[in-house]
Amino acid sequence: MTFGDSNSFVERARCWISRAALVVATILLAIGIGLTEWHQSGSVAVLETACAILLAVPILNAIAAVLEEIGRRDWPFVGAGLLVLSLVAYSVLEKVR
Amino acid sequence: MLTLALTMLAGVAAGGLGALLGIGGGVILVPLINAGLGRPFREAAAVSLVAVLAASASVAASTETRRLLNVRLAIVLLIFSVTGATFGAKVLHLMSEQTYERIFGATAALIAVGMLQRLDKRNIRSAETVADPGVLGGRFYDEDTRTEVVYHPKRLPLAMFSAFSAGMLASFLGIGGGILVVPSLNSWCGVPMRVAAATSAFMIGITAIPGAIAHYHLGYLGDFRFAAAASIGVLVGYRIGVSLGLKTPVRGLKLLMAGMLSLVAMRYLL
Repeated sequence: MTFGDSNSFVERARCWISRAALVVATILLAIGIGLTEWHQSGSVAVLETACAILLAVPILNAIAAVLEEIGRRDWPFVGAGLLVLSLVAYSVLEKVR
Repeated sequence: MLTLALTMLAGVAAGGLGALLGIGGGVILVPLINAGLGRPFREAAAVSLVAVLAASASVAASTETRRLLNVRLAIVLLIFSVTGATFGAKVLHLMSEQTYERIFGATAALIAVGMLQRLDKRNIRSAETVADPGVLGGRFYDEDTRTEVVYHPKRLPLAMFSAFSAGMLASFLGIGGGILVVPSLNSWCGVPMRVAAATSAFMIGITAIPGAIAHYHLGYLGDFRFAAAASIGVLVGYRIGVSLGLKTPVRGLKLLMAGMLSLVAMRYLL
């Protein structure tokens, strides 16, 4: 079972958002390096934002995979996907708290 | 500025090879930053995890490998890899840098031997002989044989164990875990190399998250510029690697992987 099985709305949205996120993250990474090289304030915040975007993309992929499985009404895999997302949420929230 | 440029070049090399092998490139990037540029192992691992996230984002944005990705197998294995990564992130601060370097070398050596032992194993059967790939199997058009082929994953407990180990090592060593998942899926579980690589590429970003957060939280990331430079390099390298990937023979991919791992093992074990 692959993502490429259908040209679904979820798959198109996932692809579009991933590409947009990648472009924004790349621009922010380049700006962040530039600001740091010229000792401008706010450089760390820019780089942290870029890293946060890069971190969000795989989570978006996992959510898209769960939505695809919901569309197929394949509940065991929906449950497995939700379990993965819960584990990721736990690891993030535990450190943020 | 020169160090930043070299970090970016290391990222290009890691991203390119990572795309060809279905790994995040961490196993290449960590030694290049640690041994090549003289940064501490923990900082190299932290930088590498950010670069792995960039590689994963690059894969997500591309469509080249999507037809090979087995999303159900990935979801099942992610339960174990993310659990391992979360556990690894919890105990990250307990061991010394030297211990992590030895683990890194030993892991690379073991996988290189495993890859060389099964260099010519294909793990696929023609679609006519196997009608049903099962719940976790799949079928795809193989560029090498120019036929539709079917595969059916075997020994799933082994794949689950390797996913858990890969997750733990991802947090310890700054790798995405693909370096373990790809060979074990291919060699032990009968998943074709290209499918294993695409499935692993989907998994690495999610597996890297607990380790990346922990490294950042513990202050190992240090200078953010290195992570940014490595990430930009990986993004460029990944595009190059993906465009070459489907044209590279499977045997060549395996040899490349084994050779690369042997070099890494020698650096950290001798």
